[in-house]
Amino acid sequence: MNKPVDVSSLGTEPEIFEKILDRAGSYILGKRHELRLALCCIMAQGHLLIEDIPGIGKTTMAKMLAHLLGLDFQRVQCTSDMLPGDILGFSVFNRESGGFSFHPGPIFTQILLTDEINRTPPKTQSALLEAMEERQVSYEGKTRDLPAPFFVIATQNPLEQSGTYPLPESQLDRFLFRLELGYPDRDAEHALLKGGGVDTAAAAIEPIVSADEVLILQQRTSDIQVTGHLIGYVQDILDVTRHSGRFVLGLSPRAGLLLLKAAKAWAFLDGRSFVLPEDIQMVLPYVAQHRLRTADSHEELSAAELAEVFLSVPVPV
Amino acid sequence: MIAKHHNKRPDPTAVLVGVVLCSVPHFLNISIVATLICLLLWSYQVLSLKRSLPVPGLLVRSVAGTVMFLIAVGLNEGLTLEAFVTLLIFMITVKTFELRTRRDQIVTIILCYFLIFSAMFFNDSFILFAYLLFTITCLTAGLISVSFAGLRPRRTMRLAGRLLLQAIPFMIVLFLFFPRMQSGLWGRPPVISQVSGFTDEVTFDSFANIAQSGKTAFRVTFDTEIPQPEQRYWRGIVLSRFDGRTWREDRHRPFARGVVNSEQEILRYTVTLEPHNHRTLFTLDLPFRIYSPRARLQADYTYQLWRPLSGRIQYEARSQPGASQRAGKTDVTANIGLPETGNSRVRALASQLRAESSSPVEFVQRTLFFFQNGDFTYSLNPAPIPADRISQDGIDAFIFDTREGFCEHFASAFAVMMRAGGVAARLVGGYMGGEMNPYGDYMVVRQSDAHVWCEVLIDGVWQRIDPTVAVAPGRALQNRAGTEVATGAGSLLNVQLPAFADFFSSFTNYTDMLNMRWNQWVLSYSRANQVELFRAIGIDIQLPGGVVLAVVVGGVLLVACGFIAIVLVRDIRTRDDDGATYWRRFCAVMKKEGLPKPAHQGPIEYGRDIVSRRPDLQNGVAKITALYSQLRYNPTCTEDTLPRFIEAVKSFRPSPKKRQR
Repeated sequence: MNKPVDVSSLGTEPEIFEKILDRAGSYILGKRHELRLALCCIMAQGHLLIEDIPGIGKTTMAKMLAHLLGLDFQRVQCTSDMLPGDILGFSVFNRESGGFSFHPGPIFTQILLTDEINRTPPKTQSALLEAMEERQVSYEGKTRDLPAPFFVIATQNPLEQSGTYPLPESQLDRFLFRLELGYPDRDAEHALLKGGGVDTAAAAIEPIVSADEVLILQQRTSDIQVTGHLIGYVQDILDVTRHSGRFVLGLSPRAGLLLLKAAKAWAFLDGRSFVLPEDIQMVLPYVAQHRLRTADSHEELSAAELAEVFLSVPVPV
Repeated sequence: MIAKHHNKRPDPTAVLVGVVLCSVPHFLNISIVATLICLLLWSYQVLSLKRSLPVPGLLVRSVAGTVMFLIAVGLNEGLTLEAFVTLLIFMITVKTFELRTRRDQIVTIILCYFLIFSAMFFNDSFILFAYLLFTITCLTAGLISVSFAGLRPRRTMRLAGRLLLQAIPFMIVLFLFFPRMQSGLWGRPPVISQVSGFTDEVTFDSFANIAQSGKTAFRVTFDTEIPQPEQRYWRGIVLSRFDGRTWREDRHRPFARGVVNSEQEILRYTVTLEPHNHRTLFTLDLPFRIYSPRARLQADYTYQLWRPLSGRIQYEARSQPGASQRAGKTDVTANIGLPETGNSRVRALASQLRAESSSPVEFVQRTLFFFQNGDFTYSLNPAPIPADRISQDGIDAFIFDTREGFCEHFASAFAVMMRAGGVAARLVGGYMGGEMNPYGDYMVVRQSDAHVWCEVLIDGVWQRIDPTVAVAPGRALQNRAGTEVATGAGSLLNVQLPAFADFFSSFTNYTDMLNMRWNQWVLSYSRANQVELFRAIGIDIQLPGGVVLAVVVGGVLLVACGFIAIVLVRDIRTRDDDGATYWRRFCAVMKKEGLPKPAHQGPIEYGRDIVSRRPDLQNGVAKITALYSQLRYNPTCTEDTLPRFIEAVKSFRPSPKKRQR
């Protein structure tokens, strides 16, 4: 981050994002909206949880984003016998120096894909989630900063339940978005089967922006304007989740902050310098769904039910 | 939130706040024990908000309720108004222990409305009225928050305020049109616990008669010039019969023989007298006319009502300072007698002084001189006169031993000496003083101005002599700040801080002025005023036809108020800014086209929806929604956005022929 970076040559921001999305879209067919949400998540400096079945293209997507954004990429396949050290790193005795030297784990990267995070025991989960929140690793009394930007894409398989450790609500709260990729639509799958998406060539993809430029873009995101009207609107939304009696717990102030951040990023992706209520409505389901449980059955609301709750909040004039 | 999940009991905070707000003005009316009981129960409630405390069972509540009823009745000498109010407060407080459902909360809040309304029985000052409005707003906000859980307190308060605003036109119409009852709708019961400095008998050396209260006794507006401070003697009652300790009114008096006029100008003024439970009316010495059908002139030039005064009364009167009254036939015999025995030293002294004087006038002067130079002290806390001497030799003890006292001591002693010296003398009770309120052009006479002075009969004419002034000239001429009497509302003002004293004195003056205006314009609105008001608009409500007409006019006005209320809502709602106003106008236009804006939609999405159904409106709608979202959500939008937006909305016309039905 020391050298000054000139981003004027990149064109206006939406152009960059369009370029990234176009390029990524040519590899992951028919998932432009999800790609855009993932990009939004990176710009908002949040983390992404993808809940879906295997073989949908989660890994491809993570890799693609890493390459296009010029970021390092690591992948961890979570298993039930994993220890925190497997992710954070560990110390090895060095005979020559007579001391311990730290071997950084896979977490010391810029984009980390943790596959099937719910299969690893809570101890390892919380080590990872703590690092996500603090953006640093404390190991044996020493604190090591993680590289910037730092972005975690975690996946979990919603169907397999035996031998898993579902993330508790407090851990879920650390993910900005949770989304489902879903099957590609018929046309996209047709193209895919014909050989349109090229996965193996991912390594050869040219980055569109550099890591430093990503940091600048993140900075720009946080400069997006939000008026008092919209903050009132976000408060109304939070109020509904807290006082309508439909949910066990309402959205936390952190969720409110993240919601605003995500809306800013969405506006930024749209090439706007200010947030519209539509931005908030767009990102709201992805921010809210995994944070809310119904008061009567302690289950999540379906997207449609959630939408119904939020439709009751009028947009302030 | 967690607690709410485990325990379905609704949040009682709003109700508790309402109950406390409504009860506070009653603390002055109910006994201190009742107040303490309420405070105790409320504290328990507040504590149980924080942690769960056991809620008393039905048996405990029933027994407690019965005990409270007995307390309420016992503390207040039977089923008085105070007892009922105490009982109401108790019942509401106990009710807060069983707020199980939303309905309980609503019932409790509605009871609170009755409670706050009953405060009007005790006090009708402007300040209470303002507090009442505030409390009603809070209660309404409480009702709203109970009915619509989840609204923020600020919003409920705003909504309640708006409802109150809407109610105000109705209130005014009903106030003006509803038939006025002479004694109020429910007949305002007499308020016994009025603090009054005035009594209709004077007992020597009795403390009960001194009121140090700064409460207003009456207010006076002068049509002519304002009398000098030394002329502000407000005549109330004349006391002729003396039994050695107490002076009483003589009920068998022949009529007066008229007045000796003085050179001074006749004063015209209007008195607004607070209720004091006596029949006495107060007029500037010496009155000769009073304009009130309820008053009658007494032989001794005082005015009395037929019944004790239980409500505020206003009357116009005329007086001439310096005028004196001619003695009636039996005045000499009625005002010369003393008890057979007692006070022998004073009698001896009086006889000696009389013997040394050549005329009654000289005797009066010598006696006054005696008081002036006899080492007497004016004090509101005089040394007590020994109990064994008080009934027989009280005056002796005062003049020769204690030599400390206030107006009653001096006036009694002086009158006794006059009578002992063979000069007819009597006491006059009333008020002396009064100060002009700097904020309103009127004079306030307070309870602490209560005073007693003497009249002596010289050459067939009653002359006013004030021995207190002879001893303590400051009592009459100094302004109030110089005396020991409290100047305003209670003991707060006894604090010896000059800066605060100034502030409080102007504060009390200002509130007194507000109360004066409040009395004048609102509370004194009577049946006569109503008749006059209707006559002004051409309706005679003393005829049956006029009543019907008045009812019709009132009904029309009420309907109009309904419209005003609706307009007021719209007005408040759209008062935010021009952007919002024009956006609403655009939405209203689209609503007419069959495309109302769903409340949850943002402007861009709404615009897209419209265009998908009415592609012909593409240009106008896209422009308007884009400008509006710039205006509303972009803090750095250019200054011409608003005018451009307004222009776009104004020129927007969905063409009627393409209208889809």
